[in-house]
Amino acid sequence: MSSPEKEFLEKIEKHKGVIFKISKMYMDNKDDQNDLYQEIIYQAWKSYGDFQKRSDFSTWLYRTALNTAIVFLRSEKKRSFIQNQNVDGLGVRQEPYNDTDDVNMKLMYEAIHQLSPIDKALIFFFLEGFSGKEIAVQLGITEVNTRVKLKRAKEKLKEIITKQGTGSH
Amino acid sequence: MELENFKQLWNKDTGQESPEISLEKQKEIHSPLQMLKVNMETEFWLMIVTLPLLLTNFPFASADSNIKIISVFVTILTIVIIVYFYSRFLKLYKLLQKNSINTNYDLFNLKTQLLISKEIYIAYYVSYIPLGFLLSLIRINFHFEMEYNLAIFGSSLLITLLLIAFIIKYWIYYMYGRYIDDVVRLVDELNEIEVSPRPQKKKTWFERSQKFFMNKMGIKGNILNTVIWFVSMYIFIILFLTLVFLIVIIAGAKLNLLDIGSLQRALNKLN
Repeated sequence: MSSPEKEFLEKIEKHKGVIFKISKMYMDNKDDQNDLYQEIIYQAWKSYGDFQKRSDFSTWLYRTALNTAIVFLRSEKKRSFIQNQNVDGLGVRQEPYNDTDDVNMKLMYEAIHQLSPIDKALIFFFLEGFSGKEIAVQLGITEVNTRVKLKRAKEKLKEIITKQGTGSH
Repeated sequence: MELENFKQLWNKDTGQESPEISLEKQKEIHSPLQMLKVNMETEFWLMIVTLPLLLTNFPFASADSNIKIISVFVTILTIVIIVYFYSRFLKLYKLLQKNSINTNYDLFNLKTQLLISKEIYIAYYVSYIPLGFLLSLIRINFHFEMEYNLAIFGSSLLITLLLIAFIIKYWIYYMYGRYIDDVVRLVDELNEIEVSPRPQKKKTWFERSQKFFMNKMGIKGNILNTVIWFVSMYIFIILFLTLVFLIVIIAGAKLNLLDIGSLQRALNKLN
C-alpha cells in the first residue's frame, strides 16, 4: 500500500461514522446507503491529491461527502426495504440508550429523508454544530442566505415531525 | 421531539455499522456526469459504426464512381466532426473533474459542464444538416431539372431536419437532459432562485427499459438499453417515413396530383 493511500485510509477511518450518517440522511434503504458511502470514499480518494491540507481534513471531507450525496443517483437495482424498518440497523450503541432512542432515531432519519438535498446539507451542518458563518463558507452562499435557509429547513423539519406525531415521544 | 433532541440523537448515533472501506470504483453509475459520459461514449461508438454504413451504402448502390468517391469524402468528413466534438467533450470532462471549493461553486461548475456538454452535443447533430444537404445533392447527381428529382432532394433534406429536431427534443432529454435538470434545480435552490415543483410524469418506455436493464446488468445494462433504442429509432424512423411517402404517393396518384410515370423515371435514374 502506497504512503498517500495509507495516510488517506487512516484519516478516513476516524471519520467513517460521520460519512455513514450522511449516507443515512440521504438514502432511505441500506443498499443505497452502502452505495453512497462507497461513492463518497471513492470521490474523496480521487480528489485527495487536490486537498493539499489547505483546510481541515474533516471539513474538506464533509464538503466532498455532501457534494457527492447531493447529486447522487440512486441505483436502479431492486432494493430491499426491510432494513429500513429495522431500527437496530441505525447505529451501534456506544453509550446506553433505550428503545425510545431507537425509535426516535428512526423517526429522525425518516423526517430528514423528506427534506430536499440542500436542506439535508444544512441540517447536517446544524447537527454537527457548525456556526452560520461556517455553513456559509462551506456552501458558498452568504451568511444571511444561510441563516434564512437554515431557519426554513428547521421549520420544515418541525412540520414533518409534527405530522409524524412524534411530539408524544 | 424537538430539534435539540435531534442533536442528542445525532451524537448518540456513531454510524459504526458502516461497511468496509474500499477505494475501488463501484460498477454502477451514481453521478449525473458519469451517466452523461457513459451515454456519450456509447453513442460515439454507435455513430462510428453505423454512420459509415448508412452514408456509403446508398451512394455505393450507384454505378457512378464520382458518387462513390464523394460519398466516401462526406463519410470521412462526418467522422472527423464526430471525433472532434467527442474529444472536446472528453477534454472538458477531464478539465472540470477537480473539486472542491464550496458546494455552490462545485454545483455551478457541474451545471456549467453539463450545459456546455449538451450544447456541444446539439452542435454536432446540427452539423449533420449541411452533410444531409450534400448527400441529397449527391443522390440527384447535382441536377435539378426533373420535377421529382427536386422533390426527392427536398424530401431527403426534410428527413434530415426532422431527424435532428427529434434527436434534440427527445433523445437528448432522455440521455442527458433529465440529469441536467436535476443539477440546475439544485443550483437554483441554493441561490434562492424560485424552483417550480417538479411535474409528476409517468415513466416512459425508455426509462422503464433502462431501469430493467440496469437492474440486471448495471452499467452494461445502460449501454445495452442505449444500443437497443438507438437501433430501434433508426428502424422506426425509416419505417415511419416510408409509410408517409407511400401515403403521399398513393394519395397523390389517386387525386391526380402526381404523375407516377415521371416519378418512376426519376427513381430509376437515382438507381
